Amino acid sequence: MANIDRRQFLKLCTASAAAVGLSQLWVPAIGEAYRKAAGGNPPIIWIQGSACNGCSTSLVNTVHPDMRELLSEIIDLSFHPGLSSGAGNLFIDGLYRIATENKGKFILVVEGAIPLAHKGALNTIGEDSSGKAVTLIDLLKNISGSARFIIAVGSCASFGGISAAEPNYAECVGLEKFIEVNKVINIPGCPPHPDWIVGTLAHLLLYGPPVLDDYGRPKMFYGGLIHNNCPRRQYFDNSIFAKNFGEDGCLLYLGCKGPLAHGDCPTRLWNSTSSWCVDVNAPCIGCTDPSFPDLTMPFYKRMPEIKGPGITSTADAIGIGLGVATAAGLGAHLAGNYFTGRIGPRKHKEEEDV
Amino acid sequence: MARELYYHTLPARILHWINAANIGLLTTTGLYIRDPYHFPLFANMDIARKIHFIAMYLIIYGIVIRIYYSWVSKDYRELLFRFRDFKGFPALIRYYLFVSKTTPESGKYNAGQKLLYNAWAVLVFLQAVTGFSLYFPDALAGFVRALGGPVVLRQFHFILTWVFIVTVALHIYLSFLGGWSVIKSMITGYFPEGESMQPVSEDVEEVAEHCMKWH
Amino acid sequence: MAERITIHPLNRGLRPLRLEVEAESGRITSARAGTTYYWDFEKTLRGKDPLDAVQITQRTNGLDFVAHTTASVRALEEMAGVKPPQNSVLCRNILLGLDIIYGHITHFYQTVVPDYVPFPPGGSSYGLPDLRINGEPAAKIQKNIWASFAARELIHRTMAVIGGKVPHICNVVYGGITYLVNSPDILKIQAILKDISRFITGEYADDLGTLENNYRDYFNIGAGAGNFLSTGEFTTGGPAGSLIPARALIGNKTVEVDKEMISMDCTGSKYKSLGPEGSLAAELEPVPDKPGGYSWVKGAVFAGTTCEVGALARMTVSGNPAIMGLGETAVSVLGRSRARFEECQILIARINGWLAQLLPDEEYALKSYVPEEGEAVGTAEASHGPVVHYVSVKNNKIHRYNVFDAFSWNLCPLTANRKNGPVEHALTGVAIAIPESPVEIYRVARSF
Repeated sequence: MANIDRRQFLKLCTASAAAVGLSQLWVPAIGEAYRKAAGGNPPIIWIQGSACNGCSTSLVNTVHPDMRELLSEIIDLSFHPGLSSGAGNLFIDGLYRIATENKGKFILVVEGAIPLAHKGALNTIGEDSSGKAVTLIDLLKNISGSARFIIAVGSCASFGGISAAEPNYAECVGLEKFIEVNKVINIPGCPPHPDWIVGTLAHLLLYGPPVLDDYGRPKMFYGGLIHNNCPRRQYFDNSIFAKNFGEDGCLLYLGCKGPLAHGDCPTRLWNSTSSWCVDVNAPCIGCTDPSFPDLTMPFYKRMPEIKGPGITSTADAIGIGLGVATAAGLGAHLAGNYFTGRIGPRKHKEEEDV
Repeated sequence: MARELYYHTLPARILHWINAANIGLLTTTGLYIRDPYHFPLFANMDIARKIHFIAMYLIIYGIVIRIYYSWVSKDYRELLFRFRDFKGFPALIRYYLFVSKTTPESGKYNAGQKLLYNAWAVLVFLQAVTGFSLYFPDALAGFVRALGGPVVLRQFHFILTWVFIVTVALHIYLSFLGGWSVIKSMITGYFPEGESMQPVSEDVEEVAEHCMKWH
Repeated sequence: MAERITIHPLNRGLRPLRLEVEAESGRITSARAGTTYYWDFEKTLRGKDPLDAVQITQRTNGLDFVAHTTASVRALEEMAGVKPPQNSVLCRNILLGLDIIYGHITHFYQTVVPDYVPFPPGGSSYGLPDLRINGEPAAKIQKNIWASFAARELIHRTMAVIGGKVPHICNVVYGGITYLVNSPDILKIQAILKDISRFITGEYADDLGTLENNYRDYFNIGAGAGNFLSTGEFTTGGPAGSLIPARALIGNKTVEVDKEMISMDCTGSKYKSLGPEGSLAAELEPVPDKPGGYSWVKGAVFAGTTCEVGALARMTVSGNPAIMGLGETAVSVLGRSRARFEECQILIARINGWLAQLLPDEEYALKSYVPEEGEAVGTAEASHGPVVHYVSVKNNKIHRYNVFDAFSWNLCPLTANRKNGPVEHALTGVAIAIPESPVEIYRVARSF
């Protein structure tokens, strides 16, 4: 089972196989792959920007392969703020050293958005040996050019996410708006499923970049709409909607954003197939979508509000308002027609008839 | 009985009612899909969506055929809104606001009608663009993204629907205001000679005078 | 001879820190600890639906997120004057308990241990001094670090059964929870809890013991000012009150905690308060180059004093016998780790109890609406310390929202009355052997 081709691998990445357990198959396969590669497997440099670091927490929840297999057999996580030893300028210098030694080889993983306000002063990540503060912008400018692949993990790094939610004081942007040198592979989600991160890394190591959709997301994980694969789809088709938490039915009226969010959550399930948002009667909040969270809020209401200069209204209110205004206008006009005698009983004719 | 003029050709009438039916179905199913509780017009989402998806193709074909027909039958000469039609608006508005009693002079259709009918073709095009983006969220993902994302498109699609509802309501209202002759003409094709398409004041002399002027 | 040492970043914790200490003849005379990045949802939440706060504020932190959800909904529930159903109280307790255990295991194996035993194995290129555990015992701890990842995954697996997905759960909403676990779920949770419990009483206990035996001096390093605070946690609605009382220990004097007595102090942080001064409701304006501001942490003080929070504070105010038995040495680098372990043991037993108390056929969510106007403060204990949420609502929208987490307490920047936060306090007086590699500073700062 040591060698699997790309088609088999993609099959393994689909949700139905995930439950069976990938590690027996892909751990040896990837081991084989990087033994073949002359210089071993490329090192991974993981950087955290403006984020809650929940993406790293989510990565720890990987099961097939587990963290030990992942870190000691599959990938070479040379640098991670949550796992690496060292502190202070050793940390920054060590990072630069790894990047320089592996120029053109390493995989750069970024978790969190990049705050551009105040020239990056809102996020300084350390000091180099000369005592100069290094902002996240400095660091990314310095090393992103020499990375072989760049992966944005989480919605913040991909599209700005929660960090860039309006009014976005810190002027946070996602990686793809910051880096032009390399094409970024986006793995959005708040946080992303560990399989999405690990599967993408494995694909990179084995076969190079995976096929991406128009949002830069690997198609093998973000290929379908949540809504189309939802176990409650039957409820939607039959117009059975839950009005309160805990009721049976489609969660559309409780704010479910499944109809716009892409991901395989309904079939992959979260935390070792334990559950997922809709399984606990909670609406999907659309966390993999570029519009998250600005346009997927309110999370527990059907549709977001439309904000215009001086007005804040829902599309429904605007529509119904238009309808009422029309009815009133036409009614008034009808009355006008009647009173001016354009319509209604015509006295002359009646007299003639009689 | 007054002589009747052949006013609307058979293809124009058929296309009118096909398009009317499609717009009606699209609007009602659309409202239901958007909010089944407040617009309980269909049995379930499945039916409403399927009708919506069939009607959306039919309306596009209907509009395309209508445009083609107006080209071959040359009735675009009467239908197409041109810049010079703007001149007709002041008189029309004065008439609708009861400032003047006489219906404004125009060809077969007045400036308002032309604008409305032309606007519908544009509206249908916009609805098709936004609608198909929502219908093929994956194939058209890049396009959806360029337009501001699915949420923005959905809201836009919905607001446009209300523009349809408002304008169609106006159209129906004005047709009914015109009386049975107007409605009948869209069924049989014939309109009584000498009658006005729009209601006029009860001052008979003025009506007569006006009618003469109109011909 | 005075010497200045700057450590930036100090990683592997909840958030990276920047430490700046002044040392004289190898002993720290003053210390400053802060964070160097702006991370605040106050501006984002303004004008939003109050119900959304539970999701947004959860993203404050990738480890203590359950506490943020809980504090957020508690604030709204208090504002509305509603009491969530018993089932939801129990489920939130279970989630919070599991999250605290998760935080403790993560803290011990990911934050603390690599300062004593190099990790990843063979990857100790940074050359930490003072590594006293070698050979077989070190290999065992390294193996258990890998095992801790698996244990953490198990904890999240149980939490996901209740909460949908982890991190960032989705079942906690205003007025209750969205889903009540059924009997198969409970069986699954109980089965996994046994594995987690085995890890805590086995590997975790052993490794903590190994550390304590080899580093006894760290029971005398890193003491604080001795002020402790807990906002209280784990009520079950019964007459017994909460498992951990809302109590503070200020200079050996016990004070019952009233939320009114908590105030904000942004003297040393990079925020300018636009008033009301000192209130949790104060509107804050970020000022990146504020004179005297050295941290992006909003300070929180109780009765004018900075307080140490976290497991040690909770175990102290609740009078845990194991921690009381340590006496003076409890307030120390390893005392904090010991308190975390003791709390894990208590919680794992309680979680089983709460599971048994769930009433499958009873309600678990209120059908209630958030009031149009009002303000309230909600609190919840997280593994690193209490989370405090202030919310005010106007016209059905959030008017102001202020989030304080454990950092606001333990990393409270210099206050108006020139008081240092607990981390700064604990660093002061610590002796440094090698200024180029000040492992003592790492160990003290990472003990919180």
